Amino acid sequence: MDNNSISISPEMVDVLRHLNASGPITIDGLAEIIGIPHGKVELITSRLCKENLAKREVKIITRSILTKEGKKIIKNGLPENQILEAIKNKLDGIPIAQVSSTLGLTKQAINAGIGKLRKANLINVNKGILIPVEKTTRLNQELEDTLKTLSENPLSSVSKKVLTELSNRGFIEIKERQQTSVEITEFGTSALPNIQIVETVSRLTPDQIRSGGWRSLQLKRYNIVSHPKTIPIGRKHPYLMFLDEVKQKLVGLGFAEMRGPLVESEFWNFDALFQAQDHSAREWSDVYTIKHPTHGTLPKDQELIKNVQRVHETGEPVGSRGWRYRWDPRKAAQLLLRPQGTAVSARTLYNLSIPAKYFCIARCYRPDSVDAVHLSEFNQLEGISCDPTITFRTLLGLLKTFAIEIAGATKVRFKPDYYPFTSPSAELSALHPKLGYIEFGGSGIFRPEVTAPFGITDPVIAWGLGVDRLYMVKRGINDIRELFTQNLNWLRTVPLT
Amino acid sequence: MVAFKISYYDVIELLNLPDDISIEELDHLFSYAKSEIEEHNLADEGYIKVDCKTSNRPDIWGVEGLAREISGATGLYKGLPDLSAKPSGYIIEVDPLIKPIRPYIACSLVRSVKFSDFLIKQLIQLQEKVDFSYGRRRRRSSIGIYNANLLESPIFYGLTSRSTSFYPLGYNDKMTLDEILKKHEKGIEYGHILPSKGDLPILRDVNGVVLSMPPIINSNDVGRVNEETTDVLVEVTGTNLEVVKVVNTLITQALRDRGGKVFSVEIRYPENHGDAPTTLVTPETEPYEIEVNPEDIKNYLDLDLTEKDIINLLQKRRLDVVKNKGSIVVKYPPYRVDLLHWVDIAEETAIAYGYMNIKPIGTQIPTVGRLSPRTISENYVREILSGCSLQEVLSFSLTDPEKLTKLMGCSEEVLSTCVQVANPVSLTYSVMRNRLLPGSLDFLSRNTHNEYPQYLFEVGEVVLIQKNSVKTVAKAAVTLAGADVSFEHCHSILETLTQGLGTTYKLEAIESTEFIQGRTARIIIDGKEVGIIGEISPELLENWEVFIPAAAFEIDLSLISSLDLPPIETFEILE
Repeated sequence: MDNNSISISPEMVDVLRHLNASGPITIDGLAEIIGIPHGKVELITSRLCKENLAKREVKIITRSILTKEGKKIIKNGLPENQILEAIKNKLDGIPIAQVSSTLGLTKQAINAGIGKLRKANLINVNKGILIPVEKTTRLNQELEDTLKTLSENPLSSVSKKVLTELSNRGFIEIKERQQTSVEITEFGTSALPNIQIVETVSRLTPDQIRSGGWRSLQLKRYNIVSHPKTIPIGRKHPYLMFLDEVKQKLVGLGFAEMRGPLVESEFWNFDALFQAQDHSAREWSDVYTIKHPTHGTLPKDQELIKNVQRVHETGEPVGSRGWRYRWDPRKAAQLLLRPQGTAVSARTLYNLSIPAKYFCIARCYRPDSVDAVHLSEFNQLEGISCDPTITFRTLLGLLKTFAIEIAGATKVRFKPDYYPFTSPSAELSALHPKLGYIEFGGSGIFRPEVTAPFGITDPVIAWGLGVDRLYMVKRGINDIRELFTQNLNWLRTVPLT
Repeated sequence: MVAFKISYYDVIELLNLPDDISIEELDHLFSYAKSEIEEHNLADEGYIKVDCKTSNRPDIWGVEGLAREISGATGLYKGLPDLSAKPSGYIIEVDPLIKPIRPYIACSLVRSVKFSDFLIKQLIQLQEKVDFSYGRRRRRSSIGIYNANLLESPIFYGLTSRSTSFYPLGYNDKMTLDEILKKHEKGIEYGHILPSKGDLPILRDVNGVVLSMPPIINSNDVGRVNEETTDVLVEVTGTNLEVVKVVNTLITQALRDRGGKVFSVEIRYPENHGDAPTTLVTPETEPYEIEVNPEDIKNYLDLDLTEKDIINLLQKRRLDVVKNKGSIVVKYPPYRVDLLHWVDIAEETAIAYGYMNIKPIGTQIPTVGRLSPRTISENYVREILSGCSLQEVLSFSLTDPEKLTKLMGCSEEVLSTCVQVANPVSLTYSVMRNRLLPGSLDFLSRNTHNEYPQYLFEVGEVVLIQKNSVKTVAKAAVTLAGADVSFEHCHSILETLTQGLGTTYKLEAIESTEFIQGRTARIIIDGKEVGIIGEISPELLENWEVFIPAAAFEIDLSLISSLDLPPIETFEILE
């Protein structure tokens, strides 16, 4: 291929040849001659222009279309001339009303006509009577003629002044549109004999690759900087993905996951955790009870039940004061929607093999009115950790690890806290770079009254972390209801990072 | 959690703190009492709202107890507070007939208190907090405070006829007990505590002056404390003797902290009156004791403390310590109902030591971490379905019964297999879902303005009542909505899912009101019916106002043997 030759697609050559033959021509004209769609001609000529083989000129075409009024005028003449005709020779004059009804013109048209005639001093008006002045001559002959011309060819060129008046009087409507005409350039004419035809394609086919045919192809250049549509992918729920990440971190820290039922007995939720049966947290205002069945069965292990009863009633065998009341197994059999994840921990204490580290992300239920800070159901991240070396310092160490590994914090703060089933208890706050210290979890060592009925003598750390809170901080969400958002668009597009 | 309002200036005075102590410093001090400052506006008479985290410390639900608790940490006081009380000579005689209704009473006399409007308000606040929470909305215990100079001993606590009348607090007209229960706002609020028939409790002095109708309302004269009052009788009635004594002691102690001089009252109980001795003197003046080996505390906390250190720290917690052979005996005020076991003494030691002064350490014991097989199984399903370009959704599991019945074109009978909440806060969250599809349709109905197609899935737990048990079961639902959605599309997702789960299924055509006829099938896996698939009937779409074709399937994952998702813990029904 020498330097003077140009390689273009067969379609481009075809159009260029037609242009050479036709001389300057509109796109529409060209499309008609070649017999391909307007849009495609436009595309190809634009490519020819880019190669400097053709040039385009855009003109504004004015078309004047007669309105309904305009068409009437061609038949009957302008209103002023109609009026003149009507009062011709009537030297005593005629009332306006009569003229109006005879001619069947609108009041507006009559008034305009009278105005023109008076201005030209062709009539007098006296108390509603029109009186001709002298010999009449038709007015505005040019307007009438132009209208006629335009009715035959809307593209006719006429004086601007006349056009404006016709338009103002509502006889024509002026429509403008762009018209692109195209012609071959000198360079195009000279290059035409040397042009080489090259196949340009947008898509490679397997055949072209296999046959080696790709060698003679030119792949069309794409506009690669414009934004495409996004792909309608399926994603996991962002909040559940966050919980998956938290689980992964806990597994990495050596915790095994536990799961439990959504409908729980008071036994596992309260009694096994040494919460007295008249504890305020067990009231209807703090837990959801169930219409039917109201009660379930207690665990089959009678020994366990006896132990729990004994520690509640007497505090033995661990030398506690106990709660000093009569423990009621029926109260313990009452069913609830699980109000706290610690119920799952309590279940895990049964037959616990030590050392043990467990966690659970548990859906929990509380009778709260749903608002920006309360849900009637939410998730709790809870767990236990048990080995013979555990002390209060290991508990603080565990909390610190959580703050660093799970909340990504560098600084922690501990405060005395209270849980009915732990002593000592500690509250964990983690330092957030913008929000300051955020309360992030709570923990304590299970009271001996909790662990003794299970035959556990080693200390057990019970801990809980506010995962919902952590997620809200991460996402910048202020309304807790957003955790369960039903906004599909948000779910589809929210950045996961 | 118990919240109450106090005044910044009052705290400063009670604790003898510098006038310019910051809210942050105060908040830190409050942490010694497991409390924190929730709100404050010092411009508004030093307003501070305190949140106390413990439900077992009614003694610190007011500024007096709070300050008493902190006074050890600030160094103002140490050791046990004064608990003494000289006899007042006042006697309360208890009627045997009160036993089945509200058997117990404890009482004390406090003289020379300088009541101000502010102090009265603080006292009423403490009384209300204790009655509500520790007193279980007055059922377990309730407090009455009277102008002692308007009454004479002995005082009668017993039953009286419902037609007995007196002037209830806030009223200038006499009302009978019956009228109080029906008309007085406190009678309406707390009347349910008392029997609906027969005689009612009354507290009356030797001259027949009515003090109150426990636990409803005081009288308008004797039962009114104002700025002129100096001597008060503090009485607590209830159903638990120990609680009644504790509450009496803690209110008395608050008044002592306000400069009151405490005198005891003798309660004369009849024979065989529950837990009560025939003669009981209240308030309690003797501390309770817990014996502990200091070594145990040291090891439990892993702090390098000598016995002397521990004793010092406990004194800062307003406790007394007496050395014994190889152990120490810790003496604590009777109102410290939270101290049950020596581990609580260990906690007291740690609090006094300061949590932030304790160096955290890591544990060296290795354990193996792993996800529950349930989670792993659920993740397989989520993985495949999100790979099928379905968006995962998360719905509330507590739902509106209408969504399970009317909107699904089902009768109310469906609810008999669902767990219904007995005490819902709102109907919208009053029944546990037994399936996921209604939640997905609800989701579609809230996204009709969003771009279609909308392909959704949810993997979640539902609760079923089956035969004699309640089961938590994992289900998966796939819901497709869009102009071109068809049975075939939905079917191909089921095919892909079951293939990915290493199982096979069969479809059997059935008819269902929820799906279009001839485009509905039950899904059989491992010979069991596990779910249903079909194009959603236009009737259902109309119910949910989803005006676009939709198809769905839902399967019970607990029935698929290639997954490890058996129903969790069933409760046999026991009623």
